[in-house]
Amino acid sequence: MSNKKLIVIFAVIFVTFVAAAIILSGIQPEGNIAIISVGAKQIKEVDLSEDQTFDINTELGTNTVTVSDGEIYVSDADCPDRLCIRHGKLNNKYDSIVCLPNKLVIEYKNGSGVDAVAGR
Amino acid sequence: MKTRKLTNTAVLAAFSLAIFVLESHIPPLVPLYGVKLGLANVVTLYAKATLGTRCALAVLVIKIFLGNFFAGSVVSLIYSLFGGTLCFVMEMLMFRIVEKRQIWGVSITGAIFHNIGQIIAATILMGTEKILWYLTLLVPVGILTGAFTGICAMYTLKATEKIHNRR
Repeated sequence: MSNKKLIVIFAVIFVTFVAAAIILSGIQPEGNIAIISVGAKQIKEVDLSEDQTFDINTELGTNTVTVSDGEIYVSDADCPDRLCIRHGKLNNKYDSIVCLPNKLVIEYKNGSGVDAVAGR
Repeated sequence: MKTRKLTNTAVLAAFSLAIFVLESHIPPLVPLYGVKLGLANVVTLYAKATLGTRCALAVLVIKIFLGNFFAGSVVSLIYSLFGGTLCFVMEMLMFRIVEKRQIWGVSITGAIFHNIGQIIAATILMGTEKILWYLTLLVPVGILTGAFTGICAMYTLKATEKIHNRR
Protein backbone atom coordinates (compact mmCIF):
# COMPACT_ATOMS: atom_id res chain seq x y z
CA MET A 1 0.00 0.00 0.00
CA SER A 2 1.38 3.38 -0.92
CA ASN A 3 1.89 6.16 1.60
CA LYS A 4 -0.54 8.33 -0.31
CA LYS A 5 -3.31 5.75 -0.19
CA LEU A 6 -2.83 5.25 3.54
CA ILE A 7 -2.87 8.99 4.27
CA VAL A 8 -6.04 9.43 2.18
CA ILE A 9 -7.82 6.62 4.07
CA PHE A 10 -6.99 8.11 7.48
CA ALA A 11 -7.80 11.64 6.29
CA VAL A 12 -11.25 10.50 5.08
CA ILE A 13 -11.98 8.77 8.41
CA PHE A 14 -10.77 11.85 10.31
CA VAL A 15 -12.89 14.31 8.31
CA THR A 16 -15.98 12.06 8.48
CA PHE A 17 -15.85 11.80 12.26
CA VAL A 18 -15.04 15.47 12.83
CA ALA A 19 -17.91 16.44 10.50
CA ALA A 20 -20.24 14.10 12.41
CA ALA A 21 -19.12 15.66 15.71
CA ILE A 22 -19.69 19.19 14.39
CA ILE A 23 -23.12 18.36 12.95
CA LEU A 24 -24.21 16.65 16.18
CA SER A 25 -22.98 19.53 18.33
CA GLY A 26 -25.19 21.92 16.35
CA ILE A 27 -28.44 20.09 17.12
CA GLN A 28 -30.35 21.82 19.88
CA PRO A 29 -32.42 19.78 22.35
CA GLU A 30 -36.21 19.76 22.36
CA GLY A 31 -37.66 20.85 25.66
CA ASN A 32 -35.63 21.73 28.69
CA ILE A 33 -35.64 18.67 30.87
CA ALA A 34 -32.42 16.90 31.74
CA ILE A 35 -32.09 13.33 32.94
CA ILE A 36 -29.56 12.22 35.50
CA SER A 37 -28.68 8.54 35.64
CA VAL A 38 -26.24 6.45 37.60
CA GLY A 39 -25.19 3.54 35.43
CA ALA A 40 -28.23 2.28 33.53
CA LYS A 41 -30.66 3.54 36.18
CA GLN A 42 -32.35 6.89 35.76
CA ILE A 43 -32.54 8.59 39.12
CA LYS A 44 -33.74 12.13 38.51
CA GLU A 45 -35.46 14.42 36.02
CA VAL A 46 -34.45 18.04 36.26
CA ASP A 47 -36.45 21.03 35.05
CA LEU A 48 -33.87 23.43 33.64
CA SER A 49 -36.09 26.51 33.88
CA GLU A 50 -35.65 26.40 37.65
CA ASP A 51 -32.30 27.46 39.14
CA GLN A 52 -31.12 24.92 41.69
CA THR A 53 -28.16 23.10 43.18
CA PHE A 54 -28.27 19.58 44.53
CA ASP A 55 -26.06 16.60 45.36
CA ILE A 56 -26.20 13.20 43.73
CA ASN A 57 -25.04 10.70 46.32
CA THR A 58 -24.27 7.10 45.45
CA GLU A 59 -22.07 4.46 46.99
CA LEU A 60 -19.49 5.41 44.37
CA GLY A 61 -19.28 9.10 45.28
CA THR A 62 -20.92 12.50 45.25
CA ASN A 63 -21.46 14.96 42.41
CA THR A 64 -22.92 18.42 42.96
CA VAL A 65 -25.12 19.47 40.05
CA THR A 66 -26.05 23.10 39.39
CA VAL A 67 -28.79 24.48 37.15
CA SER A 68 -28.60 28.16 36.31
CA ASP A 69 -30.07 30.22 33.44
CA GLY A 70 -31.45 27.07 31.81
CA GLU A 71 -28.10 25.34 31.72
CA ILE A 72 -26.92 22.35 33.70
CA TYR A 73 -23.41 21.44 34.80
CA VAL A 74 -21.50 19.58 37.49
CA SER A 75 -20.13 22.17 39.89
CA ASP A 76 -18.34 19.86 42.32
CA ALA A 77 -17.36 16.20 42.53
CA ASP A 78 -15.27 13.88 44.65
CA CYS A 79 -14.03 11.78 41.71
CA PRO A 80 -10.26 11.76 41.15
CA ASP A 81 -10.14 13.18 37.60
CA ARG A 82 -12.95 15.77 37.91
CA LEU A 83 -13.50 15.61 34.14
CA CYS A 84 -17.25 15.96 34.71
CA ILE A 85 -16.62 19.47 36.06
CA ARG A 86 -14.25 20.38 33.25
CA HIS A 87 -16.81 19.21 30.70
CA GLY A 88 -18.81 22.34 31.52
CA LYS A 89 -22.41 22.89 30.47
CA LEU A 90 -24.54 20.39 28.62
CA ASN A 91 -24.63 22.04 25.21
CA ASN A 92 -26.43 19.99 22.59
CA LYS A 93 -29.01 17.28 22.10
CA TYR A 94 -26.48 14.45 21.94
CA ASP A 95 -24.09 15.82 24.53
CA SER A 96 -23.72 14.02 27.82
CA ILE A 97 -21.81 14.92 30.94
CA VAL A 98 -20.16 11.72 32.10
CA CYS A 99 -18.39 10.98 35.36
CA LEU A 100 -16.84 7.55 34.77
CA PRO A 101 -15.66 6.90 38.36
CA ASN A 102 -19.10 7.71 39.80
CA LYS A 103 -20.97 6.22 36.79
CA LEU A 104 -22.96 9.44 36.50
CA VAL A 105 -24.54 10.54 33.20
CA ILE A 106 -26.39 13.79 32.60
CA GLU A 107 -28.18 14.32 29.28
CA TYR A 108 -31.23 15.97 27.78
CA LYS A 109 -34.49 14.10 27.83
CA ASN A 110 -35.18 12.68 24.35
CA GLY A 111 -31.45 13.02 23.86
CA SER A 112 -29.79 9.88 22.68
CA GLY A 113 -30.16 6.18 22.87
CA VAL A 114 -32.80 3.57 23.54
CA ASP A 115 -34.04 5.15 26.78
CA ALA A 116 -35.62 8.00 24.85
CA VAL A 117 -37.39 5.57 22.48
CA ALA A 118 -38.60 3.34 25.29
CA GLY A 119 -39.88 6.41 27.12
CA ARG A 120 -38.42 5.35 30.43
CA MET B 1 13.72 -18.38 23.15
CA LYS B 2 17.24 -17.11 22.86
CA THR B 3 18.72 -15.33 25.84
CA ARG B 4 19.25 -12.15 23.84
CA LYS B 5 15.61 -12.08 22.78
CA LEU B 6 14.47 -12.75 26.33
CA THR B 7 16.64 -9.96 27.73
CA ASN B 8 15.54 -7.52 25.05
CA THR B 9 11.89 -8.30 25.74
CA ALA B 10 12.47 -7.73 29.46
CA VAL B 11 14.20 -4.40 28.85
CA LEU B 12 11.43 -3.24 26.52
CA ALA B 13 8.77 -4.33 29.00
CA ALA B 14 10.50 -2.25 31.68
CA PHE B 15 10.69 0.73 29.30
CA SER B 16 7.02 0.39 28.39
CA LEU B 17 6.02 0.11 32.04
CA ALA B 18 8.03 3.20 33.02
CA ILE B 19 6.48 5.26 30.20
CA PHE B 20 2.99 4.04 31.11
CA VAL B 21 3.36 4.94 34.80
CA LEU B 22 4.94 8.30 33.95
CA GLU B 23 2.18 9.14 31.49
CA SER B 24 -0.53 8.27 33.99
CA HIS B 25 0.75 11.08 36.20
CA ILE B 26 0.21 13.71 33.51
CA PRO B 27 -3.20 15.33 34.07
CA PRO B 28 -5.55 15.12 31.08
CA LEU B 29 -5.09 18.08 28.74
CA VAL B 30 -8.66 18.14 27.43
CA PRO B 31 -11.83 17.41 29.39
CA LEU B 32 -12.48 14.16 27.57
CA TYR B 33 -12.02 10.59 28.76
CA GLY B 34 -9.51 8.40 26.98
CA VAL B 35 -7.39 11.20 25.53
CA LYS B 36 -3.72 10.54 26.06
CA LEU B 37 -0.73 10.10 23.82
CA GLY B 38 -0.22 6.42 24.49
CA LEU B 39 3.55 6.67 24.27
CA ALA B 40 3.98 3.17 25.68
CA ASN B 41 2.64 1.91 22.37
CA VAL B 42 5.89 3.07 20.76
CA VAL B 43 7.64 0.33 22.73
CA THR B 44 5.08 -2.32 21.75
CA LEU B 45 5.48 -1.42 18.09
CA TYR B 46 9.26 -1.40 18.41
CA ALA B 47 9.13 -4.84 20.04
CA LYS B 48 6.97 -6.18 17.21
CA ALA B 49 9.28 -4.74 14.55
CA THR B 50 12.52 -5.99 16.08
CA LEU B 51 11.58 -9.09 18.10
CA GLY B 52 8.32 -10.36 16.65
CA THR B 53 4.67 -10.72 17.59
CA ARG B 54 5.09 -12.98 20.61
CA CYS B 55 7.60 -10.70 22.31
CA ALA B 56 5.43 -7.66 21.57
CA LEU B 57 2.47 -9.42 23.17
CA ALA B 58 4.61 -10.21 26.23
CA VAL B 59 5.64 -6.53 26.51
CA LEU B 60 2.01 -5.44 26.22
CA VAL B 61 0.66 -7.93 28.77
CA ILE B 62 3.37 -7.05 31.31
CA LYS B 63 2.69 -3.35 30.79
CA ILE B 64 -1.08 -3.68 31.21
CA PHE B 65 -0.97 -5.82 34.36
CA LEU B 66 1.98 -4.26 36.18
CA GLY B 67 1.15 -0.74 34.94
CA ASN B 68 -2.35 -0.86 36.40
CA PHE B 69 -0.99 -2.55 39.50
CA PHE B 70 1.42 0.36 40.08
CA ALA B 71 -0.64 3.27 38.78
CA GLY B 72 -4.22 2.19 38.38
CA SER B 73 -7.12 0.24 39.75
CA VAL B 74 -9.21 -2.82 38.91
CA VAL B 75 -11.47 -0.59 36.83
CA SER B 76 -8.60 0.96 34.88
CA LEU B 77 -7.22 -2.56 34.33
CA ILE B 78 -10.47 -3.55 32.61
CA TYR B 79 -10.30 -0.46 30.39
CA SER B 80 -6.67 -1.20 29.55
CA LEU B 81 -7.44 -4.84 28.74
CA PHE B 82 -10.26 -3.95 26.34
CA GLY B 83 -8.29 -1.15 24.68
CA GLY B 84 -5.01 -3.05 24.62
CA THR B 85 -6.43 -6.29 23.20
CA LEU B 86 -8.38 -4.65 20.37
CA CYS B 87 -5.43 -2.35 19.63
CA PHE B 88 -2.96 -5.25 19.49
CA VAL B 89 -5.11 -7.47 17.25
CA MET B 90 -5.72 -4.65 14.75
CA GLU B 91 -2.06 -3.63 14.78
CA MET B 92 -0.91 -7.16 13.99
CA LEU B 93 -3.39 -7.30 11.08
CA MET B 94 -2.17 -3.92 9.89
CA PHE B 95 1.47 -5.05 10.04
CA ARG B 96 0.61 -7.62 7.36
CA ILE B 97 -1.03 -5.07 5.09
CA VAL B 98 1.47 -2.22 5.17
CA GLU B 99 5.20 -2.11 4.56
CA LYS B 100 7.69 -1.91 7.42
CA ARG B 101 8.43 1.79 6.88
CA GLN B 102 4.72 2.57 7.25
CA ILE B 103 4.67 1.77 10.95
CA TRP B 104 2.85 5.08 11.52
CA GLY B 105 -0.17 3.60 9.75
CA VAL B 106 -0.08 0.64 12.13
CA SER B 107 0.10 3.03 15.07
CA ILE B 108 -2.88 5.12 13.91
CA THR B 109 -4.98 1.98 13.43
CA GLY B 110 -3.94 0.82 16.89
CA ALA B 111 -4.84 4.14 18.51
CA ILE B 112 -8.28 4.26 16.85
CA PHE B 113 -9.12 0.73 17.98
CA HIS B 114 -7.66 1.30 21.43
CA ASN B 115 -10.18 4.12 21.88
CA ILE B 116 -13.00 2.01 20.42
CA GLY B 117 -12.09 -0.81 22.84
CA GLN B 118 -12.19 1.58 25.79
CA ILE B 119 -15.58 2.95 24.76
CA ILE B 120 -16.87 -0.64 24.56
CA ALA B 121 -15.50 -1.24 28.07
CA ALA B 122 -17.16 1.96 29.31
CA THR B 123 -20.46 0.95 27.70
CA ILE B 124 -20.36 -2.39 29.49
CA LEU B 125 -19.18 -0.99 32.85
CA MET B 126 -21.66 1.88 32.88
CA GLY B 127 -24.47 -0.29 31.54
CA THR B 128 -25.49 2.46 29.12
CA GLU B 129 -24.95 3.08 25.42
CA LYS B 130 -25.14 6.87 25.80
CA ILE B 131 -21.39 7.28 25.77
CA LEU B 132 -21.08 5.84 22.26
CA TRP B 133 -21.38 9.42 20.98
CA TYR B 134 -17.90 10.03 22.38
CA LEU B 135 -16.59 7.99 19.45
CA THR B 136 -17.17 10.92 17.09
CA LEU B 137 -14.45 12.73 19.05
CA LEU B 138 -12.27 9.83 20.17
CA VAL B 139 -11.70 8.40 16.68
CA PRO B 140 -10.18 11.64 15.25
CA VAL B 141 -8.24 12.12 18.49
CA GLY B 142 -6.89 8.58 18.06
CA ILE B 143 -5.75 9.40 14.53
CA LEU B 144 -3.76 12.39 15.81
CA THR B 145 -2.18 10.70 18.83
CA GLY B 146 -1.57 7.53 16.80
CA ALA B 147 0.21 9.52 14.11
CA PHE B 148 2.44 11.10 16.75
CA THR B 149 3.39 7.84 18.47
CA GLY B 150 3.76 6.18 15.06
CA ILE B 151 6.27 8.79 13.94
CA CYS B 152 8.09 8.30 17.27
CA ALA B 153 8.26 4.54 16.58
CA MET B 154 9.45 5.13 13.01
CA TYR B 155 12.34 7.34 14.09
CA THR B 156 13.23 5.03 16.99
CA LEU B 157 13.52 2.17 14.50
CA LYS B 158 15.60 4.31 12.15
CA ALA B 159 17.93 5.44 14.94
CA THR B 160 18.51 1.89 16.18
CA GLU B 161 18.87 0.36 12.72
CA LYS B 162 22.65 0.24 13.07
CA ILE B 163 22.43 -1.80 16.26
CA HIS B 164 20.27 -4.41 14.59
CA ASN B 165 22.42 -4.58 11.46
CA ARG B 166 25.52 -5.22 13.53
CA ARG B 167 24.15 -8.52 14.81
